[in-house]
Amino acid sequence: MKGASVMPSTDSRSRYLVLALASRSLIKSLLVYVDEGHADAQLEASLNDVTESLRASKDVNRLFGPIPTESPFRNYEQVMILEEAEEALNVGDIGDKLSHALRNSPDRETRRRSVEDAVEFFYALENRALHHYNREMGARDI
Amino acid sequence: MLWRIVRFITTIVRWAHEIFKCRMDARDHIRHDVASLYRFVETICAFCATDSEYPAYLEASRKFLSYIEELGKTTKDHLASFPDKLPANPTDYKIYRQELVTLRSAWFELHKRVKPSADADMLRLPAPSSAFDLRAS
Repeated sequence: MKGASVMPSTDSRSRYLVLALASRSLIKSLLVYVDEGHADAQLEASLNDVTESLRASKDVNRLFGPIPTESPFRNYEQVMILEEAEEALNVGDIGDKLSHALRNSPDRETRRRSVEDAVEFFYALENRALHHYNREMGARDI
Repeated sequence: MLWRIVRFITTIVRWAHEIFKCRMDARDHIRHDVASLYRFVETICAFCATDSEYPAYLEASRKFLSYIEELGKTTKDHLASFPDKLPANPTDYKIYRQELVTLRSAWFELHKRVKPSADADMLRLPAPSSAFDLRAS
């Protein structure tokens, strides 16, 4: 998955932007969870989706990585950025941290600490997605 | 001894002032970014007014432009309250500030699609006049 460069196209640019928007939406949901103490079903499903995508990309038995779906975390460019962000963040098994982010603790401080790494991860993901999106914009203009 | 206490207090006050200044600077930068994005969204929404009779659009274009107009209103409302939602801790600003970059990129993509749709009113499209000719004949 790593080290490959693809020709800039509208599709890949859109995928980077979709990933940035999806990451932002998750950051917002996580911050709402910290403030209000309950997570919506969509948030839980999205976190599972990211975890599953990370797991599938590392599975040596799967030759082609995760199967692309409608999910904003399953396409080639998106999986590459997931891996990139995970490596850059260097906080251990991020998949495990995402799986345990929503503990439904009554204490706000505990909730804040439990989602801290997840928020940092999605921030890095959004950042990298925007970087690739802008880079492809530049490549297209040349 | 008294001189040392005075110096210590002066240093503390100076630090507090510097921290406060940094925080205000960061807030001002975010406010500036918000204002800039607000103006950008407003410029795009100016193309999308479908209330008046002229220019007239085909149903698909009208729906698309109304949708963008509505999206613009929601974004502008969100941006208007954005500086009030900033966290107390300035180190968290980066997370909030990046949202503005993402929103700008999304609106940039929409902008590229809005202008051709806004330009394609019924007077400039051949299809509606052909349909009228066919009906007349």
